[in-house]
Amino acid sequence: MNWILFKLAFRNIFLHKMKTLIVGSILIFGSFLAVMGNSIVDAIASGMKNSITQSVTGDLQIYSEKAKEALSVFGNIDGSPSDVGYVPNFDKVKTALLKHSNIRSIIPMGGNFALMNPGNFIDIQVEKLRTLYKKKALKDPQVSSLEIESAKQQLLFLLNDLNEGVKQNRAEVILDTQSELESAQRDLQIALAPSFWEDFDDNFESKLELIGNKVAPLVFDDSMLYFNYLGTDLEAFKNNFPQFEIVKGQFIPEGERGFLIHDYVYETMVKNRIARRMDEIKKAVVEDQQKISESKELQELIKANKEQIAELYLTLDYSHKPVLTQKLKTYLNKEEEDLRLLLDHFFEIQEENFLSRYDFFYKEMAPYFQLYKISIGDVIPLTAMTKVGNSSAINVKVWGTFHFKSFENSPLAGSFSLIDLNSFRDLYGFLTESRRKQNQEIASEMGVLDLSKDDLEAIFGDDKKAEELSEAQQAQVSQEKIAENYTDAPVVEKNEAFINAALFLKDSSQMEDSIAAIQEINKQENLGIKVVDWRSASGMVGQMTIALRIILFGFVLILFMIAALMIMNSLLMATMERQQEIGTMRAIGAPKGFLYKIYLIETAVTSILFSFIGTVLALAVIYTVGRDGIPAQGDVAKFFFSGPRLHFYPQWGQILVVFIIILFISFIATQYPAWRAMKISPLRAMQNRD
Amino acid sequence: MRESQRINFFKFKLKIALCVICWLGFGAAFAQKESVKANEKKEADFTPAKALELVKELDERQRSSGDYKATAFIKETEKNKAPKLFQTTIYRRDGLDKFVMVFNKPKEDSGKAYLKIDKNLWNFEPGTGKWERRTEREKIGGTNSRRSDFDESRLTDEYTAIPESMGSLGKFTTYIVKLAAKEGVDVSYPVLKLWIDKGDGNVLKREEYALSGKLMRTIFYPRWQKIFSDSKKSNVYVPEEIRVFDELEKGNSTIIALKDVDLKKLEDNIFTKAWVESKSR
Repeated sequence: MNWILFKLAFRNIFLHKMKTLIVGSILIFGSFLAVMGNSIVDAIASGMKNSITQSVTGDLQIYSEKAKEALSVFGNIDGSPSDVGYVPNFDKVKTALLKHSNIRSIIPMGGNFALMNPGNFIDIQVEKLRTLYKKKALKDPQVSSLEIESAKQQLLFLLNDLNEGVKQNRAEVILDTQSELESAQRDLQIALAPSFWEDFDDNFESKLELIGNKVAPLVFDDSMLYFNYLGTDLEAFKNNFPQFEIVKGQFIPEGERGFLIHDYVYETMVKNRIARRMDEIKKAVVEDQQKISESKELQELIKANKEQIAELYLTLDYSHKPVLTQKLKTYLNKEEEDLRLLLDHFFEIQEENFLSRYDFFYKEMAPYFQLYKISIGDVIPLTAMTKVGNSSAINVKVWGTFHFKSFENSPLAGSFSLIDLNSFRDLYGFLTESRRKQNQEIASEMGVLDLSKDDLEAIFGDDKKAEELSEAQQAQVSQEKIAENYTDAPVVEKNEAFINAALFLKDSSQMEDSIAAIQEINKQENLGIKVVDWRSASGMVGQMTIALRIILFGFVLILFMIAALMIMNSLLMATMERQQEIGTMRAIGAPKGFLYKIYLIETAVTSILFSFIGTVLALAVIYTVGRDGIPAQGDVAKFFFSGPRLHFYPQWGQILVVFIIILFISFIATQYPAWRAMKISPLRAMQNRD
Repeated sequence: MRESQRINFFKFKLKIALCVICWLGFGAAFAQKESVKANEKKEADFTPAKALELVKELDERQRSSGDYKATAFIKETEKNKAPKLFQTTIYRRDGLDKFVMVFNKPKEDSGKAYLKIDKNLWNFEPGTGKWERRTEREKIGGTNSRRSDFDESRLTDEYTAIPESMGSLGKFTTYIVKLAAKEGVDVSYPVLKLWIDKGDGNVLKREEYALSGKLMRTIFYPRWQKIFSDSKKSNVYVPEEIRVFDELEKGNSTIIALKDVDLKKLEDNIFTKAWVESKSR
């Protein structure tokens, strides 16, 4: 009996070869895509998990349960840090959570951003000279007259160049009107006169103020640097994020304050723009095999370098000018003595000379220029907006640069630098009890009432109202009233507070259980925290694999739906063609169930056969391509792949799920044609014969 | 007979009433016409020359010509946030366009300062000991106040006055003057609208617009004080209170209170970086 069923089913399959092939192709493609796609998405998800958990989030993140926004360690869409408030007592939280056996470590952290605005080349040199004079006045033994003389000569070198710039109306000089030009020439004449420098040491304050206020504003300034940073316990950070690695300089010694810049930021923002462009061209020419003559983008970079030579030239130490001039004269085989013109010739880059000039630039020229706006070991001023609303600034030493192994140049992993927790807290500006009291005193001294716009309009229109408000204002504003205004403001002892913290689990597969346990501890010990997994904590970035999976699932589902419709259509057509045969079978006693089974077997065979072929093909690709890995195109891809290549492997569980889904869809698609076939009466066979 | 007399008397009363109504009506219409004429005359009188004269007068009234020192309190109120408060001291030498603002309280901000010399606005951070250039759009202490709120009025130098209309602000009749920034001048806002009291010539209200025409801030000057200046040999008008309403972030406002205004001569070295640094120490 069973063999008859199979025979009939196979006969039908072969009878409608073309339809079977069309349905089969769709099933092959669908199953291939589902198996292969799932394998790739799984690999990306795993890569992303590694990149995110190993660079910033840990397995879980905790933050204040009173947070106004959900935590996103990479910041909001507009780039601002998410407003999550803070948890006041780290030690208490740490002690309580470490009681849970699956928590390995807790690293306090918090994100913010800061600016560094040193001013233009002349501002920087003026400030350097002022500092030297001030140190000398304080009898600092490290400041020598020679050093001051050298700084003065450097300033003179810059002023002379600016003077030439004004004469030649160079791009870096800002002069809008004729009167500005005249005034600039007058001021430069004063500053360059030998008499101006004769008594410089005795009157340095007034001389430097003249240069700073009259001359320096003539130079274009775009030296502002912007840093996203993560304040954390650096020692704990280093120990818990194994892919963290120092690239330049050194790690901040224990107990010291300091700043570590992500190497990606250091190379793409802090590095001199001319050198950066040279690097970009090199990468395009060597790694991406692009041709300068064919790439408009590369030609634009070369043009920009030629137009902005000042950015490099003005970082030159004046004392090296003769050496560099000679080197360039020899290299370029030119008799020109003007270094600026020689640099102009040097940056006339073409296909043939690029690599040689690139090497010469780094080997012979770079040592004479300041290649980075910040050198390792510099103490830099960072200014941040505090949570109280005013600005806060600190000096912090740059100890080095770092990256995370496997995704060194990723802009996402490089989106933050690192600062010690104390400096972070200073810049964050918590509202302390002392600050609150001071606010009360200032408000009391100020003695004004808060008035709305309507109240103010009333002051202008109604004498009585004005009088009332005036009297109220004249009266001392009561302390109670002021205190009321501040009852909502959280107060904190800043050396204990943290914004969020990364939790590493001993067994990360127990994530859900650990979350539940932490929630329970939080409830019992009243810690005031909420806990989220790494995916939620990474905001939009973490949701990307889910989005990818949804897109893939949707696409495959559409394919399977098409396959189901094709199956149904083909079976219906077959039913119409086989009415007589089915009628005959019914007439000789075949029960309805017999017909139903034929249809079911026919569909099952088609589905299993073709989805098997699709799966085998997908497995073949996975084993060949997946093992070698797909190369990551670009630095963003490296972050998602958690390395330079994406390796992917078969996911047997998901293959089984794909099979079950295909069988289920086929089963559903069979129902209507089978029902139609079962409705055919034995009479139909006789009618047709008549 | 009596009946007809009563009717005549009634008709007479009706005629009188109609006459009174007509008279009142015509009177009112005439008065209104006269008033419109008067307003039109007023508007006609409000020429660009008049607008310029008013703005010049504003500048002149606030010009101290000599030095100026005051204690300025700033209170910034933002929605759902604790207010920010600062106490600062302002030093000005208006003749040379020099300006210093030193923060005194709270102690976390003590020693922070702004120094303006010529077109340069410098910001000093005692935390780093460094000076940074800022623009006139700088939000003082992170509040919605600008340096120009604390400076003398230099509207004639910075803006071109355009008469807008006559108007009223409560019980005050005001001239409304529009001001457009002159080319190449660094100002906080390129377009202003002033409500100038017709009676005493003080500005009562000011609206500040971005170049796009968007209203950014509305400022009220509810109180002015008169202080005699020896150098000017006449009175100088100083606002006691300035109330700034943020029009972008509705509900946010800033109050500036100026106290202990002193117009005596100041030390020359105040307007230098060295003095500001010494003050912060």
